[in-house]
Amino acid sequence: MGLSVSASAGVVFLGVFLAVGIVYPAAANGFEQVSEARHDAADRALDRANTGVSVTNATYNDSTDTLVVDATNDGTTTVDVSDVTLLVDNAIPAAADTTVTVVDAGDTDVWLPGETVRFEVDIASAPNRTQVVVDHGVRDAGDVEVN
Amino acid sequence: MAGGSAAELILFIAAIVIAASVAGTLTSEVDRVSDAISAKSLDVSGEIRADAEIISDPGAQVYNRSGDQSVTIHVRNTGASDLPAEPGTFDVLLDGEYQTDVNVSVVGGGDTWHRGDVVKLEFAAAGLPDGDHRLKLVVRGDEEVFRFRT
Repeated sequence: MGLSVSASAGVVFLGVFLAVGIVYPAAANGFEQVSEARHDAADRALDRANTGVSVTNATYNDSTDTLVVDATNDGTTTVDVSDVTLLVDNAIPAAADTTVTVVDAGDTDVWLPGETVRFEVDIASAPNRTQVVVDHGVRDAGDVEVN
Repeated sequence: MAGGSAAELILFIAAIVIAASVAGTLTSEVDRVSDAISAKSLDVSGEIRADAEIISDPGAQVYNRSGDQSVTIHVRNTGASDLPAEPGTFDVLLDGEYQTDVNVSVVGGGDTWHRGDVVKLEFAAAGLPDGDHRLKLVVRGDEEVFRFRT
């Protein structure tokens, strides 16, 4: 009788050890995945808070059919020029009609804090509003002045 | 005497069989639970990584821009994961009504909505009355609300 009790207890304990061995890696991996994602989200939130853009000038030249938009990076993060989106009256102008340059910085794809980016868009009629969107969806809009 | 040891042997075997079935059931159930934990944590981390932002300007015209009585919005992927640019990724509700026929296109082309990319969502809303409207967008659990006037 004594042997059967200890033998069956041993079998049950073996099962419990196996179960713990199965559940521990899954729970640890899952926890690590979720905490890593939360860490990424916190990093993004910090970057978003440090990112800033403001539209300083939006002028449409009636004689040359060109819209010129100047925007300044007034945050503390570097923005990729290729990731910047310009909306003109809620439409994105074709890339072929748009020229984007960092003022006084030559041929570069990085828009540093304090620098100004100039968009020149060929557009047939005068728009009303324009909006510049940078990383993390940070944006600024302005009314277009017609000359 | 021989009868007694046979009975003990039967009891011993019965005890071992019951213990083994208990251990087997325990491990198989725990295996299922751990599978579910793995799948759920993958889902949750995907939801945390996914983030979208409606970048359309409510100050400019949103409805009937191209004259075909449709609503057009631009959405930027501000999360840390690439998502497929297909209608299944986006749940769009306009004034509480689910929109089934949403046209999705990535600005600049392609089928994948990479990080930092913008997609254009367009859906027909014939005869949208003048007044205030509320558009709700759900992308992988991330909810965005956009209010505009027609």
